[in-house]
Amino acid sequence: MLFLKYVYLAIVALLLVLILVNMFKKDKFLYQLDAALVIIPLILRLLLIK
Amino acid sequence: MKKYSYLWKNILVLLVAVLFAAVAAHDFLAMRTPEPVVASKGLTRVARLSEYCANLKGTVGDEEVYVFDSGVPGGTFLVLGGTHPNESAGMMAAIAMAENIEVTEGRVFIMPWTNTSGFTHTSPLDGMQDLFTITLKDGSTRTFRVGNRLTNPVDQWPDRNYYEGTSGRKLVGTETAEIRNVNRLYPGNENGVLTEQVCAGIKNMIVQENVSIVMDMHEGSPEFFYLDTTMAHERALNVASLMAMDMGMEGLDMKAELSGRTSYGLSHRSLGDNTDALMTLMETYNPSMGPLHGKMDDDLIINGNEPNYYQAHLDGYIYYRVKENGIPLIERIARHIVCITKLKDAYNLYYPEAPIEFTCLGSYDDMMELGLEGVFKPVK
Amino acid sequence: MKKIIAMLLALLFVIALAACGSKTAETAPAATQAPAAEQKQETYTSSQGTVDGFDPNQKTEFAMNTSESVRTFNIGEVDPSLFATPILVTSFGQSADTSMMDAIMKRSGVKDYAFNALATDADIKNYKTVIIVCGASSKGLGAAGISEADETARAEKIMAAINETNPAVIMCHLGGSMRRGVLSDKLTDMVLEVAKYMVVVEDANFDGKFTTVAQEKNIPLTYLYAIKDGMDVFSALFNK
Repeated sequence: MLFLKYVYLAIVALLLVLILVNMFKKDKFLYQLDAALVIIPLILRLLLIK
Repeated sequence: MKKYSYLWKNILVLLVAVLFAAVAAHDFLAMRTPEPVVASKGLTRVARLSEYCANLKGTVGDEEVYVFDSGVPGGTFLVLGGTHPNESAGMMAAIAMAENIEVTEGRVFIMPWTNTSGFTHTSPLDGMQDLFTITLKDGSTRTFRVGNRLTNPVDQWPDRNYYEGTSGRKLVGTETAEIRNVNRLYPGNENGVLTEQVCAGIKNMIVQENVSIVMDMHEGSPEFFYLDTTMAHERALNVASLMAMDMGMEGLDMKAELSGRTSYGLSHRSLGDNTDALMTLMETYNPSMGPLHGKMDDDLIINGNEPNYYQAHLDGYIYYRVKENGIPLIERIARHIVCITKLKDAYNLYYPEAPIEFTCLGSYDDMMELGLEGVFKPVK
Repeated sequence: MKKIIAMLLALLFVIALAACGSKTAETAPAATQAPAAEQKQETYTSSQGTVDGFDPNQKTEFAMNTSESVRTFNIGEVDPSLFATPILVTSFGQSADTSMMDAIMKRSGVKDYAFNALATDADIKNYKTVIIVCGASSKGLGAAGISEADETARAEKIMAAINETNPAVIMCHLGGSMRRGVLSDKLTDMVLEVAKYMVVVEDANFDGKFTTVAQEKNIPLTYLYAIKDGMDVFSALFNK
């Protein structure tokens, strides 16, 4: 089950990277804000804080 | 220039997001610090659960066990608080006992945070309060956590769609999340998931330390039928019944109920079936646990006052006799401690060859007079 | 369109990450499963266990003789000289009230008594007084590992032994309205055929059953407001 946990965290990390990459492609503030809202829980989850 | 201008916006937004994450992380991590315990002079050692289940070493489940050994041979009483971290009176009563108990015969083991991981998180989307503060007599404050009934998924994941505990209880359907519930996985499994390891540690401790009697302190929502009730394994029923009688003599309602034969995984059933200890579990009223409570704040947690439940009782929807001004935390703590004291007295009557003798905070009225501010010690 | 779908997916993901708590109902629903053929254990129930036919919302209001201020009420007068030691306390129905009776006896200071919830007909001859606590509990029967039929058969054998050796019988009903039901009443009625005294928590008398029996069969009856009030009653009866 530990392997599954690392797979899950890898998916979270991948998602975080993809969101960051997409965020930096956007010039509209609203899209950047959207991405930021998603990034907050992803960071907390990746660090296993929440 | 236009390209650089939106790049800076991105970086700024990202920094703000990281800042928010850091602030949130600080709040979440604050729940990982256990409450300090100003143990009474009788404390002989602080054991660790990993002494009884080696796999717990270095994990969040490796919790502290406060041991009070009188040095006089006798029986051993184990007090479990915080099995469900959202049931505040359990943890608070255990801490209050650890800070005030004087053991003169036998030994007392106290675990204030039976599910330590559960104290590190709250229930999402419930608007749960994570911390509450009380002011002591000397003006200082102490802060206590209100956690989640279950182990933090950060510490134990995933929840299986089907899981069979060592008791034979099948965790499936609405019970899949109960794989993170300490009180569904006894007698535990040293090589199982984290919560099972905690259960195994407790079971091993009971066996290795020859624990004579156990009280697992809980609270229930006002809808729960078995409030002010002690569930007892059949071997413990006589002792629990005598305790209930003695509580009744002091004007404190208490019923003794037999543990259901098929309550697999619960402490009063599975620890009773798998150890020689007399197993009991007590429930008190906690309005912050039910669905009818309003905003969760210090008033609800400390004063136990929820007008919705009083009205529901008047309308005949709640069986429990909810008081108009609620049932404050100190009253529930006092009830737990008096129950344990009376249980000890009843146990001594039935088992005089292995007595346990202790005093803790006096009578129910004494504790009510002391209040929360007098029961808990200032942290220096 | 693609951007909208992407945003919705992202929102779904955030909700899934942030709201991953599960339902944590404090009252675990009664879960029953068909046992697998190889399972030794029966279907499990929630931590509430089972209570025989009791609906807390169906409390029948009736005029009681006892109250907070009037803790006991007597119909007829009991003759303590009828009840000699040694005493046996046993159960018909295996309810937890039997243990409460043991607690009453301990706190009443009664010395020469034996407690055996599963006493058999062979035990009866050793006692001059038999206190039978009536009240059926499926949990109690399950804990004792016996069926309703087994308990009824045990009760019938004990009644036969009582008819042979004639000890003085006290019928105790301590469970209130919660311990009234088909099996509970059947077991209670058995004992009422031979009882010389009744001690009943008055809540059980919502239909006037015990008052009627006391009057028709001329059996002294003491109503208790709460179980603990039995202490004084039994102390007066046995510590004469």
